[in-house]
Amino acid sequence: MTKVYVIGVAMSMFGPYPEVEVHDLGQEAAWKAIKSSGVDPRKLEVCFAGHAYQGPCFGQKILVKLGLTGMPIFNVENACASGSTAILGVYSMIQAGRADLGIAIGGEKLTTPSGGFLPIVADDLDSSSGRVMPAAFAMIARRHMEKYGTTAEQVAKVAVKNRKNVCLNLNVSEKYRTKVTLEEVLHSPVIADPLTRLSCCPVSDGAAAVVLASEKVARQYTNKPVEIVASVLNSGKRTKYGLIDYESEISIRAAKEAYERAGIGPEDIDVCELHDPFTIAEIVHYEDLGFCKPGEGGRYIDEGMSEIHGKGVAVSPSGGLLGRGHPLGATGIAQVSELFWQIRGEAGERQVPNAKVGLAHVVGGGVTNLESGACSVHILKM
Amino acid sequence: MKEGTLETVEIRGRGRIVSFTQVMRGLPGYDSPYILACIELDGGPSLIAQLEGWQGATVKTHMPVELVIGRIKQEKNGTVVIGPKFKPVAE
Repeated sequence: MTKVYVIGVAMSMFGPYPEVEVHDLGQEAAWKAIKSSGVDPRKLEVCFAGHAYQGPCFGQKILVKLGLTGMPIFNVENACASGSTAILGVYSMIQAGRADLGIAIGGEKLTTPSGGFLPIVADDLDSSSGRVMPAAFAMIARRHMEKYGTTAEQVAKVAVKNRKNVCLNLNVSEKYRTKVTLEEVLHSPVIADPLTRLSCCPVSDGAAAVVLASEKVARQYTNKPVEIVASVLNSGKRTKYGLIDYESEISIRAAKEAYERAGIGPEDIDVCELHDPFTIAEIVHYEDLGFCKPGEGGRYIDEGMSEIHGKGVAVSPSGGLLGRGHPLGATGIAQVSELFWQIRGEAGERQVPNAKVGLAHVVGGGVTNLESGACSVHILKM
Repeated sequence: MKEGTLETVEIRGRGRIVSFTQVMRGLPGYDSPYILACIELDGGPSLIAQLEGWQGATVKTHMPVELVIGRIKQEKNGTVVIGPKFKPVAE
């Protein structure tokens, strides 16, 4: 099987853009990603388009704006992991020899849902009972605090770090590029105790795209292709307490598979974009991804290990979901875009020193009786 | 094994609170603030449900609870949706 490389990436602006149409955001990201790859758009052979709530033929509605018609387009939905699922789709097609060049696009419009989120309430028992996501993560926080003694201050520090990092990310709306203090996070209005408003990611619209290439053609376009050494997708199991636990079984399992496929371990990761829709998630996932031992996530942030210039794995230098928001279908692709820039040394002021190996992780989808819908881990290296 | 599924579980209406949170602002139609909890039922599975009769009580993890059927939310057209809720009970 051929190796698969990322040769071009881009994001649209991420932020509140209620007046901009989602396919226009997708067009912006796709066009910029193709330009950055140097590929003639007409040479693209396959597209996977990820989104959660944007309706039928999402990919077609984007690509037709670029004047690209006729290629096979797979529209994929996997809640928060929709974008990552799209990457795995293109990756698999290239690996199988069905294509040498493909594009994965993801996007979402969240500021103007027009009632689009209600179906998830109607068809799922937990959701119907009032299990909004901040409540789920609040219960995770309580579990982690009771099990390991993690403190509200440690959890809040994640928001301080990621909202500091996003100030250096010019792909994000100025409205969201604001530093916050620990006191501000702790004392902003409570959404679901112990999580406050600043413990939750802001509402964003956005799109992102990546161009992937086979080993055969990648170097025709760039002398710095970034290899995808693991592309993993799984789905949730019926664990004892489902989503409400101090660890994420689906994430542990996906990370383990990704490390095995890449032939490396967590100690080899320099930079990570993980799934941090709420502060507590980042603490739990430090442990799930193996950056520290179970129970030491609070200390990891306390000691500044995950800072851009920290001694551990730099986590979410882009600002993460807490910084840039979480337009569902776009997130997984924005994460891989960030890793691409970091690994090529093109991340500007938020550059992680000597970033050679990066890991992207998303998990999401609320399904009663399952921990989560889907989880994806990608590992990239130069 | 029942036809159509790999797994069925028989449950009773008692359990304990694994974790909980007070939701200050739920979706429209829900009576915010409400307390949402993860309940481990005696004999196995867990589920997420609202608590009933928590006002004035001190809610804690491991607290025993019992199933009741109560108001979950009200739809826009006025329909009241009922469903499984749990109320704190004595040890």
